[in-house]
Amino acid sequence: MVVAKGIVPLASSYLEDIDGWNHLPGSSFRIGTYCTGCAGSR
Amino acid sequence: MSFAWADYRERISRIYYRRSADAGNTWEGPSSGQPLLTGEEDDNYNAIVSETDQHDFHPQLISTPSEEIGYVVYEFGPKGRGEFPMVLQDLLTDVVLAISVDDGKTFSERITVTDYPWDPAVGAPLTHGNKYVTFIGEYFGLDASPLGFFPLWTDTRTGMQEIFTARVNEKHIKTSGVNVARISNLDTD
Repeated sequence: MVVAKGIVPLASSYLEDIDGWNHLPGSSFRIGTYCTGCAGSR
Repeated sequence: MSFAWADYRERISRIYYRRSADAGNTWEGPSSGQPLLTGEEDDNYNAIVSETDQHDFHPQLISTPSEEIGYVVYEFGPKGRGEFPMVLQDLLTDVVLAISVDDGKTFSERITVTDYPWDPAVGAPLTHGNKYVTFIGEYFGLDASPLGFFPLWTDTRTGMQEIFTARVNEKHIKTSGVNVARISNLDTD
């Protein structure tokens, strides 16, 4: 099943690309969009 | 169930999520997700949403046996230090935790877990030897038990990247900024 569509990932078209790695403005570390989930306790 | 991710649609990194109350048969809200943190202040008058110069990324979600849902995230941006005058230092990172007590419908309480923000440029290894790209790890973690929430994060307060944890419940931070490698016995009250 598709959970979400039309998201805007932390991708190079919006963020600085340094040698193929995306960076938040002013940062020196690489960044990406990673999904997390929680099934709850019930 | 809920799923969350870092999203740049606001031209700043914010955490969006989708929630299903029927095991994934249907999903609430817009198909592209909705902001996980909304509203102006929690019950303690703390701002819920990060400031407009702060990026939220690497979210984690977990539930406790008592059905609270915890959310933890890195918050990166210019941080103030000192009581007065406030000094804005370099771009630093805090660990922020928010708690939902309505099965993920809303996250109504926000806590900054870190005693003070850490510098992601300290001791950062190079990515594939590239001197222009460093690496803080994408292995941020969060677990929970009846004692509360246990975020696990990279921290450089010791001058190198090390792993820290804290125990947080809905009342207050029970332990704060504990170096995992040096834990002998976490308080169990």
